[in-house]
Amino acid sequence: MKVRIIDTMVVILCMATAVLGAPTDANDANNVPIADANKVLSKLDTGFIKDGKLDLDAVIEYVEDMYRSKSSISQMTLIVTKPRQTREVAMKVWTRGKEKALIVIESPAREKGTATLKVKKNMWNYLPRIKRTIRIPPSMMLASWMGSDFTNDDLVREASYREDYTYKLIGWSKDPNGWLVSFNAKPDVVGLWKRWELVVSANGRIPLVARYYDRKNRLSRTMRWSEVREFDGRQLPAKMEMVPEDKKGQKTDLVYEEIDFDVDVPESTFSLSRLERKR
Amino acid sequence: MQTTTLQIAWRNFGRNTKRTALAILAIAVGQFALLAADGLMRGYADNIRLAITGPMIGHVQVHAAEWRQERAIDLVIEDTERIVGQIQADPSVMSAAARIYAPALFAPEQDAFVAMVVGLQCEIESHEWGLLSGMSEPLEKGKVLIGYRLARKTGAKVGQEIAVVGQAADGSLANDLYVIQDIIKCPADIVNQSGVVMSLDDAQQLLYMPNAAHEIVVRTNQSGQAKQLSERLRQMEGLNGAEVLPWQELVPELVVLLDMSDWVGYFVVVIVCIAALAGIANTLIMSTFERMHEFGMLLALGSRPRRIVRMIVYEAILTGLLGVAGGTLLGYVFVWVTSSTGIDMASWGGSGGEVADMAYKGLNLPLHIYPRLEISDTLLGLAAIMATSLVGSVWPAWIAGRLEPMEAMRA
Amino acid sequence: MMFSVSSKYAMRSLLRHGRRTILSVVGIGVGCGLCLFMIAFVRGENKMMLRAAAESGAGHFRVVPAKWNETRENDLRLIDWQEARKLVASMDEVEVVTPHARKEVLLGFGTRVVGVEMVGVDPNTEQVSNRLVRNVVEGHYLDGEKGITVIGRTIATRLRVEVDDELMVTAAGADGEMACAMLRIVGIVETGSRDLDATICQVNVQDVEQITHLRGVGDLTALVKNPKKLKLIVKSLSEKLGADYSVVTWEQLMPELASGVKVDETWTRLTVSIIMIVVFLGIASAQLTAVLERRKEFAVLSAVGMKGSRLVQIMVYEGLVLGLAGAVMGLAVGATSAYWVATKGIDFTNMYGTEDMSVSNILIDPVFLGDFGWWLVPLAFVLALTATILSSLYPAWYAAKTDPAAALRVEH
Repeated sequence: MKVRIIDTMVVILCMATAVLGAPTDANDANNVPIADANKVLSKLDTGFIKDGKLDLDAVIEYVEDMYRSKSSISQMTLIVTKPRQTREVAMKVWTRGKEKALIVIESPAREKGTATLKVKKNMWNYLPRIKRTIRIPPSMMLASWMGSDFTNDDLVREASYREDYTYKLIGWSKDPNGWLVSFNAKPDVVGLWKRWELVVSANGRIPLVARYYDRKNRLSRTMRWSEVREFDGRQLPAKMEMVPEDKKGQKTDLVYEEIDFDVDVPESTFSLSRLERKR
Repeated sequence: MQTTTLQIAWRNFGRNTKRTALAILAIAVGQFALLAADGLMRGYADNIRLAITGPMIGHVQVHAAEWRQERAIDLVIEDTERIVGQIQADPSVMSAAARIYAPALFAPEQDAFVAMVVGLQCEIESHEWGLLSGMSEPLEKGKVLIGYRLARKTGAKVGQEIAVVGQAADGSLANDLYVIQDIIKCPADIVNQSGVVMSLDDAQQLLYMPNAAHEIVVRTNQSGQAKQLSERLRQMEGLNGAEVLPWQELVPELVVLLDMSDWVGYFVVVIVCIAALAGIANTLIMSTFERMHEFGMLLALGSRPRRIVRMIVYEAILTGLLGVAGGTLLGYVFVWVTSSTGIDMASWGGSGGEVADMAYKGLNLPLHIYPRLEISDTLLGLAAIMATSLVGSVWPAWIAGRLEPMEAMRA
Repeated sequence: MMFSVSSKYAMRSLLRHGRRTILSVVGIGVGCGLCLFMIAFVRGENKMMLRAAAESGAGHFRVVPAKWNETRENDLRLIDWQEARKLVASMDEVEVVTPHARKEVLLGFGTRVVGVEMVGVDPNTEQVSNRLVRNVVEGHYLDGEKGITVIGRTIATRLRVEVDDELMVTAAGADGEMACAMLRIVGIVETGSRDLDATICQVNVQDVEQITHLRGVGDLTALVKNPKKLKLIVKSLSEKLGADYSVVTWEQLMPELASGVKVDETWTRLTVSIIMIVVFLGIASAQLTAVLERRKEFAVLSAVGMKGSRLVQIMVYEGLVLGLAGAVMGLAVGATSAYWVATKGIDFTNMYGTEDMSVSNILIDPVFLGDFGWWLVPLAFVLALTATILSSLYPAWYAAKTDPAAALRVEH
């Protein structure tokens, strides 16, 4: 016991001296060198500690699968804020694994019944007023989804952080407080983001901020998670806020009202015919 | 003394009818050619101006500020009905039409294609200078017209029920079903390429923008006054903050085209002028020289050389005036005759009349040329010809005046 | 014998009345020269128009898959295009032949997206046949590298990108799935027209193949050396290529442009006609004037026993000689000025009052070059001789008819 405390204190002292190296630029002001980050190791969930250090792989894997399950049914609200108007849409979402999702609008009344079906990389829209299903042309993947700041591609992409990006821990972020992880696109990956940064909460459980940098390394958009609550046994941020960088007065909020994980969602839910018949 | 010279000059006229007639004819032809060339060049330039300020662009356009750059659906001109009414109240405004442009997906079947919804006030646009000019049947509610290229690309057919899906002005998903009434060939190429044309009301309903529009196209009956009109409209209280531009500022690159054809026109007229003047000079010089022995006789009879020169000058002036008068008359007759039907360039081209309107950069140049003249044309012709006539006559006359009568008679 | 009398008389008459002769020759020469100049100018302008149309992408003719004529689909591909290309290139008349593979895509950068038709090209030959991509204002044009693109200025502005930025491209792949790739911008092009700049996105053919999984190209576009032989070339090529291919001319591809060129030709023909008529009448009137004054002379000859027909011969000879001399002078004047216009050209650059030159120099050449060639010679002679002989005929006939006594009366 005695040895342990002394060890820790020695470590801390070393960190203290190391930290005296002044921050050289704005980024660094947010970062505390890795070594010193260990100071907050104690805050980490034990599941994320490996060999006395932060187990980054575990953290990333957890965050990636945070909202996922074998199947789920949730209630969400999409709020698109534009300089001249704000629009609020309530949706019910069924998912199965990573590949299938059905999103149906419940309000406002005018849009009620409009649905988006995603199966693997394909997307369809069902339009109740005209009782037609339209397939989103593959070339439209980069177009905005529902007029929001999310693209069709954002929804469809089975975000595989680990496949397309190499990530590493940069350090400790001060604003917000948390672990700063940088994801850099692997050389041959096709995508809009050259790199992006993720700040994960001290306990490694909650993503706080993601900053996306375009291919020119300019900050292009920022996503923030907030309002952590319990959803069916999990602690999750209820609100995701996406803010594009150069479009003034514009942002999109996606808020989970309710989530039921691992409920019974039959395969047949995710079919076009079901889509059309039901409504 | 002057009068007598003039009388002699006048009498000379009558005496040598053939020679005089020839000279007058040469001048008349010259002036006519000049005026014809002027008329045609002006007509051609007019056509280009008409094409530019044609259906797509008009003379003045009104937009919400920044709409042209951003093309955002929700950057609209509000209260369209009242504003269009206000614009039409201006005396020089011939027509004002509101338009809606919105990118959308066009789905004849399940597969969707990228297209553009164009909302038009069909009544106004089916007049001569509208986008729907020449359309015989009005566009019914719930029906659309498809640009022929889009139809070809997607296999759309008349009578087919199609879905149009896009983003409404309030951000929601705009969607509705329409029946294809017809496949059209529009003067504006962009509509042919990707246009789904519907009535303005239908478009306003589809895109949740009641009584709003993206663009108001204004046509005036004084086409040279576009800039002034746009100034006046800008002051209108309903258009505070909107962007009001004359066509010169909307398509500066096409203004270059106009300038260039103006210059080519001038060039042609100059050449015609030189040719005409050369012919006139040649004729007059020849004519005067041929009369050498006549002058010799006059000299022998005691005329002063100066009087001979003066006589020739009077003759030249008379010839010139008569010729110019005749030529001007012919010129105006030509313009008057062709101004009703225009000169049909298509049939001249010998392609059997199937020729499509020429498209240049998405505009269509009409194929009929309506020659047009301005007073300055006649006056310039008059000045040039008079100058030439005088020079053409005086020089040989001066030579004649210096001759010994015997030499002159022997010539 | 009598023949030569007429000609001798004609020559002597011409030489004796030197001033009249010179005046006539000068008049004919100037008029003729003006006509030559104008025709050279106009022919040059027509050629330029045609060239501009062909070089804005349609080419003079295109080799396309046989099915393309019905559907006009961009996705159709030529089988064995390299063989076809070699075949076309082997024809002497063909100046250049270049391939195209087209695909509608979305270009994305950051949060911005732009839709465009991407065209796969062969960088070595594309700029030769397509003037729209010659003006690379930033960076450089495509080279053999993979994964690069050249875009128009408007696209660059809308995406807020520059040279060396990487765009994401999405398209519908051959299997209907989304196909995507990254493209690095190596050059930005300005055509002078904002609208045209929004349509330019060029890549190497291999990149289109890779993105779409469609092998081959959609068309081969070619320029010919002598557009007048176009129909023959197309016919012979169609036979050589066979049923899988279709050869379309630019007139079939862009009928509106074709009619525009025709209108331009008609227009210039009209203006040249006006000038020719004016010149013709000018010459004729001068000649007639000269002849009218010779009534007495003819009357004397007639009284001395010269037959009417001989008088006509004399007139015709005189006209011939004048015409020849006038043609030569006309050539001197006309050919030199035509040559000057053909080489140096008439520069309309400075006459663009409002805009900077870069606005339209790609689409319309500001410098007009005339045409120049051996055709000038026969044309000069035809013009001059027609004018003089025709204008000699009336007075000759008239002179032959004149009653000598009446003509010799003192009254003039």
